[in-house]
Amino acid sequence: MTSPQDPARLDRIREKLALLRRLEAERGFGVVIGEPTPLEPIPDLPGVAEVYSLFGGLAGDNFRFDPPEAIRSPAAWAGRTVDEDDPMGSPLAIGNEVHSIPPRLRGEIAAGAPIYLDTEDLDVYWMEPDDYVFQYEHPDEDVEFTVIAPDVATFFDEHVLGPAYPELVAVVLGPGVRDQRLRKGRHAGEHADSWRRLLIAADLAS
Amino acid sequence: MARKRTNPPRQTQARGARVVSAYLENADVFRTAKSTGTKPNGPAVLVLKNRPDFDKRDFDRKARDLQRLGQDGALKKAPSDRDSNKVYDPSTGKRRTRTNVYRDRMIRGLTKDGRLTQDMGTPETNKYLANKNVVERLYAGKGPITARGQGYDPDHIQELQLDGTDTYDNLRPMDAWTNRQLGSDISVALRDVPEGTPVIVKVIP
Repeated sequence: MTSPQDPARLDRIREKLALLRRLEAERGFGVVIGEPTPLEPIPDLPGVAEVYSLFGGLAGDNFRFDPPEAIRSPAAWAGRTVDEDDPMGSPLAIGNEVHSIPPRLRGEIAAGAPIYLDTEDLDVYWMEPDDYVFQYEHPDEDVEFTVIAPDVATFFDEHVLGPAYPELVAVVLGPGVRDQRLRKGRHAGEHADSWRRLLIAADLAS
Repeated sequence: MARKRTNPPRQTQARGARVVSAYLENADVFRTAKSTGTKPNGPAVLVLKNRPDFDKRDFDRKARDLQRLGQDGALKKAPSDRDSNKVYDPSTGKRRTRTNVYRDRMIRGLTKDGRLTQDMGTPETNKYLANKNVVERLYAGKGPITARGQGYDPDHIQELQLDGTDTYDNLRPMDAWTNRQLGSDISVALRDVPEGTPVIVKVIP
């Protein structure tokens, strides 16, 4: 298993981002790939700020990943609000689905359901919003959640920018969304999700 | 990979004193009965108490309804079954809870053609802003909440753990922080109460 700060993995993410930026500029898929924005490392979260430093933000039809406020500096991390009652250990939202937000409202509504980072074992996981609330209200019950990746670097390398992206869509939004195709327009027959079309064009996912 | 939580549930973890919003007036009766393996007589008396960090209006409404339902003999300790009433969503290929569907229906009702409805005014008017605020809070309720006023949850008026039904007519929006904290405190308060035990509710405003 690689370390969350594995330089080779960070280099690979950097290279993928450069490729995707170029393709987006050339062909206009309509996604957002921000420019590198240096962030100070957070000792409690090895590799997390380092990964987000590689892009200012990522956004497609299904997800949005912006650096969480709590990791923008060590001081912000130290001053974050921790909910002692959260049975999931007050996880950090590292991104959100935006599929549930009508496209015309995405500029106005902050975000949909979050994808979480466990701040203790650094797992990236998905928990259905109602399962999270149910777990909160029933701390004695054990509700299932889905671990997507063992750390943030692996998550972005393989699940956002790599071959496991379709699986991420299926886990978070459902297999029906993963398989959605456009019925009309110049991209008819292609995947409805612009991010997936971009990854396919870059030969990073199928 | 599906997994369950590995950290211990709340209140078995070391933590400081905390004001609770629900406790059993006759907790000792149920604790003793549990340890001796006997069946306690009479109902569990659940006391609900407002907290300064709660949305008072939502707490009062919830507490009043539970008090009335208790007086009507409708409350008893029950397992929280929310799986059997899930619905299949063909567009996503997922099974959804009733609360999930309810939340999305509310959002759809407040938006039209993917926009905030024009009959709620224009972006410059208070009506529009209020409408937008509700939609934002419904979305915010899909994630962690750390204080009153940040989000809305669909709340079971009669809690599932108090034999409520997982149906739309038993749901309404409630301040998410108040809902989650109160629901959790009720769950912990009823921990030693056997299923099927009648519950009555007292309210400390």
